[in-house]
Amino acid sequence: MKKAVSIFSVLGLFWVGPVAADSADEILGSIDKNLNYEKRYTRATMTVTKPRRTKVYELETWGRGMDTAATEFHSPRRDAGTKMLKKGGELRMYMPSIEKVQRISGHMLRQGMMGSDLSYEDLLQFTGWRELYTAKVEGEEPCGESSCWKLSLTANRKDASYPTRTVWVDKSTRIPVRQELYALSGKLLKTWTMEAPQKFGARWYPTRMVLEDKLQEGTRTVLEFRDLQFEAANFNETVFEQRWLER
Amino acid sequence: MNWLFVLALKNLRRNLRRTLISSVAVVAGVTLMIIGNGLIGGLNEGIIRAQIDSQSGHVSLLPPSIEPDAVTHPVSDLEAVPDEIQQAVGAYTSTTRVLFDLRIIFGRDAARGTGVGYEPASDAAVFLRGSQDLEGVWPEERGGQGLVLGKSLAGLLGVSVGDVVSVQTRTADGAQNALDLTIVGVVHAHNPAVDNQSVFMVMDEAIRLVDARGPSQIALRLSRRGDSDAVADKLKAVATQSGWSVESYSVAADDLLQINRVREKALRLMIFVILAIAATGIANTIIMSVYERIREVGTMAAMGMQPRRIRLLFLVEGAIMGLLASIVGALLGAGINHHFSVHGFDVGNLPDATSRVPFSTTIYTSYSLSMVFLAVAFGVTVAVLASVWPARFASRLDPATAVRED
Amino acid sequence: MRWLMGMALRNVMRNKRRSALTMLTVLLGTALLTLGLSWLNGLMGMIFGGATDMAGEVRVVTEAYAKRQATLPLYENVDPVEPLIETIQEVHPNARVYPTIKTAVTLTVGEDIGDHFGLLVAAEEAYFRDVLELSEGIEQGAYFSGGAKEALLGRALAAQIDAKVGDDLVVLGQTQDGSPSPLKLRVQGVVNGGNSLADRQVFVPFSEGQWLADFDSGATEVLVYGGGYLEAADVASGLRKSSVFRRFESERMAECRDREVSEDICRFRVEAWSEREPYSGIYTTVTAVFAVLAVIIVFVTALGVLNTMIMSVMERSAEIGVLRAMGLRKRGVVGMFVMEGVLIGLVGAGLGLLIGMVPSVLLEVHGIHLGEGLTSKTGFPLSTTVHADFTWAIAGLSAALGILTALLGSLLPAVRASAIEPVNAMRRRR
Repeated sequence: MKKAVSIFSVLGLFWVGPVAADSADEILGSIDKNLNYEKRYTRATMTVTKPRRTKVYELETWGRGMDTAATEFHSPRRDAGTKMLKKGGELRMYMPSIEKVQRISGHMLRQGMMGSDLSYEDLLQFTGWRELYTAKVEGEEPCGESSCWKLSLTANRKDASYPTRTVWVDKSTRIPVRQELYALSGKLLKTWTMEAPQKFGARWYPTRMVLEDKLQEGTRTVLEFRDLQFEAANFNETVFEQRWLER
Repeated sequence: MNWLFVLALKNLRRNLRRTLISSVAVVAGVTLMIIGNGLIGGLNEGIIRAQIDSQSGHVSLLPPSIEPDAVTHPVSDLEAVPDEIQQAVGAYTSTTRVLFDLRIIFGRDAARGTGVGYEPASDAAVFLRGSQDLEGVWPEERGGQGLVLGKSLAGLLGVSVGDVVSVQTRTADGAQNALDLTIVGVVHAHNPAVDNQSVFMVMDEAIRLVDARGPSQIALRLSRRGDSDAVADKLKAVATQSGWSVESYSVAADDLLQINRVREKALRLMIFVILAIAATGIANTIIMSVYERIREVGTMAAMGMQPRRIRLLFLVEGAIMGLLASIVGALLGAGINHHFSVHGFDVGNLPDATSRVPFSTTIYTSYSLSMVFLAVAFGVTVAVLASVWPARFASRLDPATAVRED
Repeated sequence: MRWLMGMALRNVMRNKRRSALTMLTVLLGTALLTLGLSWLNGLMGMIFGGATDMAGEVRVVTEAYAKRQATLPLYENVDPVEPLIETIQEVHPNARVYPTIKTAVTLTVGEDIGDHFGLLVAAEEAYFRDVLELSEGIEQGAYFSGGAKEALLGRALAAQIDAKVGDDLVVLGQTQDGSPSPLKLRVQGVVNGGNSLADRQVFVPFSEGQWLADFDSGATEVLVYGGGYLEAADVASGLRKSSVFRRFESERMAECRDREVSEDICRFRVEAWSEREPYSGIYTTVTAVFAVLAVIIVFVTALGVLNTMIMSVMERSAEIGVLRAMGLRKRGVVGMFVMEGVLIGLVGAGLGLLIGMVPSVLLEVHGIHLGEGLTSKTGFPLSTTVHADFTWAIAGLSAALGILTALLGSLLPAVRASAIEPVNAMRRRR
């Protein structure tokens, strides 16, 4: 009996039929299921490392669906009280020292948030991958202690900020543990890793992300989440209103 | 009248040394006037030429979404050139360019720049490269590969010919794009708009980067610069129908020439001082001449020569002195001017280099015959004016006392 | 000697008209020389003064900053900056040392955050008062009163953004890390910055600039003033070579090596204004041009005076012949004429100086208006009015030249004339 089991398990390893392999599209779907949410709350620490110095920010962020989000910075002191609201395809920022709200648009969108590797535009373009990209499974590779699919994603729309991506998806957690984001020409622009996954109900979610600009050396941004809550999150929806921003 | 002339001439020749010495100031003044004028003219010309040759051509047509002198250059709204404009432009030597914002990255350094996609076949006929200094080559000599950077931009990043840089930009649709390109040339166009931010590449490469659907600029070169305004007006009729705008170079140039108005004022003041000194020199010479010949003058008066004639005599002396001196000064000034108009006058880095005004390090003085005549006329006028009072004085002398005087 | 002087005086008085004429020439020459040189001096001062106001007579920045100075990189700063200031002060105790921060910002008055760009200059109040002399140039409102959150706007900038005294000004810049950094200040005054560049700047207290850039106690540019713009190159090289400064720099470089960062961050670049672009080019050109102009003025004036003197002596060749025939030695003759020349020269130059001073000082006070138009396109600080600058050095120079030419003008012909045989001399009529 044992022998039969072992043969089957060995055979099972080589079985690459529909049972073991998801289609690329389905993989994207499962990624979206993990990363997209109806509600999310988290505290985070953002560490921005630049050639000259490193800065650490503490922030709190609330999300409703993928297109509405509010963020408030608590530390360091000079940035405390700075707020951002993403709503209706627009991004607005409140600067407490001048008590004014500014809409971030045009060339400002390309800039990194607080000088980090995460651009304001990146924040705006958090849509589901299944809709935005067409994927192809390139193969499988070991990643850390687990095994990953290597996918190549091609954007379905001409205005997608990153026309192609290469994504390593952890098979077990369905999290894109590593992404390489490319320009239209195929040149590598950024890398984005998602690490330290934790389970929240049915979803896996990374509690640590690292972004690096690959065009200009010497910069690196690390995001660490604590107190992540999704459906269980209990917060007042007033944060998504313009008034909250101006308070 | 004739004999007055001859007499005046003889008098001047009699004391040649004195005549010559007093003329020096006039010579200096006239020479300076001509050279100064040539210099300013040359500066003006340099500015205009740099502007035309590297930035605007004689006439530029711009699509609806583009503002002249804009700081940013979006490609998202560019569209194909309408047929009517295509046809209207066909009569002239023209070329198209695409301008777009980009970021150049070299190691840890990054800088903003303006990408310029140009057509190798037609660009050099409109944007003359003769007045530019190029280190390296233009991309078309490398099979259309590579970039040419403005000199100041290259200096800012610390890059030179042969270095590979990353160029990051956005396509017309908004997708990010980036390429690694080799710098094949560094250009010094003497136009800060170019030197500080331009990144030249052949049109095909530019389209590969930004996928522009049309040009940012159609530039024309005419056979005569003076026709620019007329041609611009003619094209406006066709262009405005499609929302395009037309500009002759003179619109932008006027602004740029302001700086030279200051120089002109400063120069005029200087010349005024010198000519004032010249005037005293001449006045003093004539007076001395009067004194020296006081007996002579007395004799002339006693013999019945009218005061008017006496006055005229000295005025003529002054005029002749002025004329001769002015002519010498004019020849000198024109000669120097001519030399520099051909060979140029290298002034190295002048302040304009970092301003927004295009400026060449070599000035070719401008040559103006009318200026020469003007300067001579000026010199003569000063000399005559300086002689007025001494001549008056001479004519008023009492013959009796004059004859006795010595 | 006394006899000679007496003779000279008598001769001078003898033919008053002639003496007056020659003296007039010396007078005019000296006066014009004074005016011309004062004006040139003022022009040079305006050009160079503007440069040193903005850039310091000597500027100390990190090497890394110097390399990228076109972008005014805030992240290439010296923080804390006090040790650097102390070191400089130790080498040049009489110098005035000011830390400054310069950065590009956008400015808004009122509600909408607009797109008007300007240059923000943050410095200690003493810099604004003593170097830029903003306290003298207030056109509207008042100078800094020491209150918090005050800003002074250059007048061209104020006109451009339509700002009035008392308005709330929002300044949006970036910290040294690249994050947006806003400042809200009150427009305390609108000021004539003194030159075209300064008129487009906004001046704020040093602490505000430090907050904007997120410095602890740092600055980007340290400006040093001390010996005047002509001495700057010497001051700079003195600083560079001093052992105190060198030691300070090598300590910093050791730190850089420890931190394994580029040495350019720790090394300093010490430059006089005349050693930096764009001023270095014009310094040599302008001084050369002005020197040439000055020489021309001097030359032309001297020639005029000389001419007159020569004439007046040649006139009296016969006199010289008589004197020689009477037994006066050559030296005596020459001496007498020279004395006359000196006498005339002294009086002429003295009076000429006085007369020349009047328009010079007038021009110094009022200046000539050059017009606003030129200044908008130049990256170079130019005033809208040029003043002459009359100094005692110029006075001395003009007077000396006047007297010298008078002297030469009498010496040379006198020598010539006295060489002629008395008999022939007497026979000459002139």
